[in-house]
Amino acid sequence: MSDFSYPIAVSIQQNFPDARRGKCYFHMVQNIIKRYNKKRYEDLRLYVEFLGCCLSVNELKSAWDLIKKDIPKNRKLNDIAANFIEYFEDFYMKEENMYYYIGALPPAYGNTNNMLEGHHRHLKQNILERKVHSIGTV
Amino acid sequence: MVKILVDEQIKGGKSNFKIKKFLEDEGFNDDVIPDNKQLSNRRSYLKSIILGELCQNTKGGFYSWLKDHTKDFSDASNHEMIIISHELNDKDFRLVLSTKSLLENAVKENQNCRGYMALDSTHKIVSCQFKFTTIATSTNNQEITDIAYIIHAHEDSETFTYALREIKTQSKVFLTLTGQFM
Repeated sequence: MSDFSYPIAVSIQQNFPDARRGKCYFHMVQNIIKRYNKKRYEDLRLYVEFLGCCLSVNELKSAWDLIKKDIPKNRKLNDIAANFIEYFEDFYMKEENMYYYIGALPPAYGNTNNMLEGHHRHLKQNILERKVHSIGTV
Repeated sequence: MVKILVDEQIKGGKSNFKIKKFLEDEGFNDDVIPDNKQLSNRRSYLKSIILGELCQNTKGGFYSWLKDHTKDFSDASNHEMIIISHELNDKDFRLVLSTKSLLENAVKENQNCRGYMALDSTHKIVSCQFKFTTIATSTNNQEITDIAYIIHAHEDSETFTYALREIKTQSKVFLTLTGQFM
């Protein structure tokens, strides 16, 4: 389980070629929000969550085919529909990146890297003693 | 096949979690899950040894630091951090540390025996400009059990490949030494 970092993916593939791979769903959502902003993500949320709930790669591909047909009909997404479909297909439907759905790992394993994110947050705040400053306060 | 279920978390006091285990593997080591003291030792190792001592060292001081902190598998307890590999030259620096328990499980994990490994990178250590990556195994309830750290200068596939390869190699060495790997 990792985020979508290319160097990490390559190294896992080289060292554990037979292991089941998982990609962090939470990181994918964050990436989409960064690209389109939080408000636009709310319009996309249903589609993204639908994909995250898939149980197999075939289900994921079928769900994506349905979504590709539905998004252009969604008036709220008129301005970003084509861009989103292209972006998502180019990155998150690629073989090496598509394991963010819940069925990518065995049951109960989850599809996020949140435990390590939490661990790093703790290290940053309590051990590395990095301070978080709001914009404009420093 | 080993299944571990983290039954419940009880906050407060010295034992802030209670772990209920269902083990189907007779050879499975009960000590695989760290207790609070071991977790605390890991944190203080990171803070005082890695950040306190290592990061203030010069290149020349690194080797004496390494000598002081290198341990044999047999001398370390299950959740103690062991330096398993390093590389230092003019262009690069990599240091891989792991708990003995992760070495015990890294190869087994690959055989789908237990838990899974997660990787997350990269948090720059501000005081010394190194990057910091964590590799961990977890229970099915996403509780971290075993952990390895990479302290590295560059964030590239060579660095991660190096670290995972070393973990895998040392894991096999360790399991061979303890008679668990055939």
